Amino acid sequence: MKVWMQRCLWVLLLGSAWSMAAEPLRVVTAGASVTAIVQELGFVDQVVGIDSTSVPLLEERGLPNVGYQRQLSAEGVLSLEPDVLLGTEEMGPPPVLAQLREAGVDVVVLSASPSLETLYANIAAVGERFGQGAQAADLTQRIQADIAALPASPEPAPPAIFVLTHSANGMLVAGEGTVGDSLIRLGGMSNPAADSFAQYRVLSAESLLSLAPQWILTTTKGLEMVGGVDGLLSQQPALAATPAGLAQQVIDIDDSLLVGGFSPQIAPTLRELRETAADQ
Amino acid sequence: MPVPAVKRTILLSLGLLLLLAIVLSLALGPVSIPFTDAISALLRPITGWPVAADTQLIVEHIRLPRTLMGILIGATLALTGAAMQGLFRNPLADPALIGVSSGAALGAAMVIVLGGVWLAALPAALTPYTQAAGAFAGALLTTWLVYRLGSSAQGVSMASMLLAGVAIAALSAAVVGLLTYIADDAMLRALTFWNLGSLGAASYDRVGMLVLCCGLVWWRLPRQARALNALLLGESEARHLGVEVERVKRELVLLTALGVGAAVAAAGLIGFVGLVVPHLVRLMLGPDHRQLLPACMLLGAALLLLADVAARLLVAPAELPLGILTALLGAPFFIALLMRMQRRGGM
Repeated sequence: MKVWMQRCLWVLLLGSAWSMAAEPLRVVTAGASVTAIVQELGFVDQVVGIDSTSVPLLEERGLPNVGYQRQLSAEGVLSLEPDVLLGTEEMGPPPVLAQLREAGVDVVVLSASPSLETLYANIAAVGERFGQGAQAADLTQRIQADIAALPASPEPAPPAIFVLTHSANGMLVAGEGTVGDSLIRLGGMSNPAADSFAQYRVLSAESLLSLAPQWILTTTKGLEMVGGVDGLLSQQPALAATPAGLAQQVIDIDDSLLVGGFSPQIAPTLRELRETAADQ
Repeated sequence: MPVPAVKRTILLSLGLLLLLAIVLSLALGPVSIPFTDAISALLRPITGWPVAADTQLIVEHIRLPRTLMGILIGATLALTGAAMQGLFRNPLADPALIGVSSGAALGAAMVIVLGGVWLAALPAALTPYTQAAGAFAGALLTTWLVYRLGSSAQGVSMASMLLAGVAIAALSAAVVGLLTYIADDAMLRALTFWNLGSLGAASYDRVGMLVLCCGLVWWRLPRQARALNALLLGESEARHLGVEVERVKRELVLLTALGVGAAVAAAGLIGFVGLVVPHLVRLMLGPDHRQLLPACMLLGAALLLLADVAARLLVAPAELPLGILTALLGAPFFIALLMRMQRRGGM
C-alpha cells in the first residue's frame, strides 16, 4: 500500500513539474491560412502535423499530413500526440473534434470568414495560444501598415469576377460573402456578381456576359488544371467573350492564400490587384 | 436435415475470420498500441487492470465503437443484400434497388442544404443527429413509396417494384442535383463526404441506434430463410408450398429499409458489401438461405472491418473513405472467384 501511494505521489510530482516547465507545444494546424499565421509568427518548429491544404506551405519540412481538414481522423491526429489542434470552423467532422477534446487535445476553432478583421483576430488568438501575444501584435501591425500603404481604389472600381474552375465543364462564380468577393473588393475592384447572389453559382453564358467584368480572377491551381489562360478561355466561350476575356485579363491567386479565411501573406496580392485596378 | 460437415467448416472459418478482423480492428490504428495493452484496456471495466489513460481512451472511445459499428453495418448490409437478391431473384439486386440508398442520400441532402433555418430552433444537443435522422427518414419514405408503386390489387409485383425503384432513384438523384446546385461551398463538401461512407465518426450513440434497428433485422430476417428458399422456385411455386408470399415480401422490404436506412444514417453510403458478399458466400455454400444468411452476416462484418482497418492505416494520420476501400478490396476478389468458377464449368 505504501509503495503504491509513494508511486502516486511521484507521478503527481513529475506531472506538475512537467507542466510547469515551458515545454514547447505540439501543434497540428488545419487550414492553409492558420498554418500561414503560425509560420509568420515563427512557431513552425512546434508544428507536428498539417492538413492537406497546408502542405504546399511547409512542403520542405515533410510534416505528417492529417488529410483534408473537413474529414479529420481522431486516431490519426492523436497519433501525432498534439497538445493543440489549431484550425477554423471549416474543420470537422464534429464527432471527431469531440473525441479529440475528450482525449485532452485543446481544439481551437478560429473564424474562417474572409475579412481582414477576422485575420487580425485570428493572429491574436494564435499568438495568445502560444503565449506570445506581443509577437502577434507586431505581425498585425505589420499587415495593417502594408494594407494602409496600398494604393487607393480607383473610382469607379473596375468590375471583376472571381471564378473557381475544377474541370473543363464546370465553373463557379463567386457571389456575396465569399472569399473571392472580399478579394475583389479589397483589391480595389467591384464584384457585379455579388449584387445578384450569395455563395458560389454556376452562371449561364448570358448572365456572365451581362456582368461585363474587365478582370477575371481565379486560383492558380484551378488555372493550371484547365491549361492556363488559353485553356480557360477556350473551354469557357462565354468567359472569352467578356471584356476581360477579349483582353485576356486573367489574374491567378495562390490557392493557399484563401483557405480558411485570408492568409497573413495576403497583402502583396492585394497590392498587385490594386495596382492592376488603378492601371485601367 | 443436419448441416453438412463441409458447410459447417466454412461457417466456422468465416466466424474465425470475423474474430480475426475484430482483433485487428481493435489492435491496429495510427496510434501504435501494444496488443496486450489493447486487450487490457478492453477488459478493464471487468478486470480493473491499470491501463494508461490515453490507451484506454483510444481503445474504448475510438476503436471499440468503430469496431461495433463495422460489425453491425457490415453484417446488416450483407444480410439485406442476400435477402434482396433472393426476393428479386436477380443476382444484381442490392438494397439500393428499393430506393433505400437514394432516399437516404436525399434525406441527408435536404437536411444539409435546407435544414439551416428550421433546425436552428432545435436544442443544440440534437443538431449532430439531424443529418442521420434525415437520412433514415428519407430511406424509409422512399422505400414505402417504391413499395406502394409496386403494389396493386393482385399484390406486390417485383417487376413493377424494380422499375419503381429505378424511377424513384432517378427522381431522388435529380432532387439531390437541384439541392447541390443551390448548396454553398460548405454544404457541397458535407454532401460529398456524406456520399463516401466512413466509420470515422463512430460513437456509442450511433452504436446504440444501430443495435436497435439492426438487431431487429438480425432477429427477424433470418427467420425468412425457408420462405426465401421457396421463392427461388418462383412466386406461385412458393405460394403452393405454403409460403405467405405477400407477407414475406412486405416484411423483407421493411426490414431492409430499416437496416440499411440505419446503416446509411450512421456511416454514409458504403457500397458493394450488400452486392458482393452474398455472391461470395453463395459460391462457397450454395443457395440455401438457411446457411447463406448467417454466413453473409459473418463475412459482411469481417470484410467491412478489414476495409476499415486499411482505411485508417494506409494514409495515416489521414484517413481514406471506407466506401472506396470496400470496392477496392471486394471487386478484385469477386472477379477472381468468378473466373475460377467459370474455369470449373459454370456457376
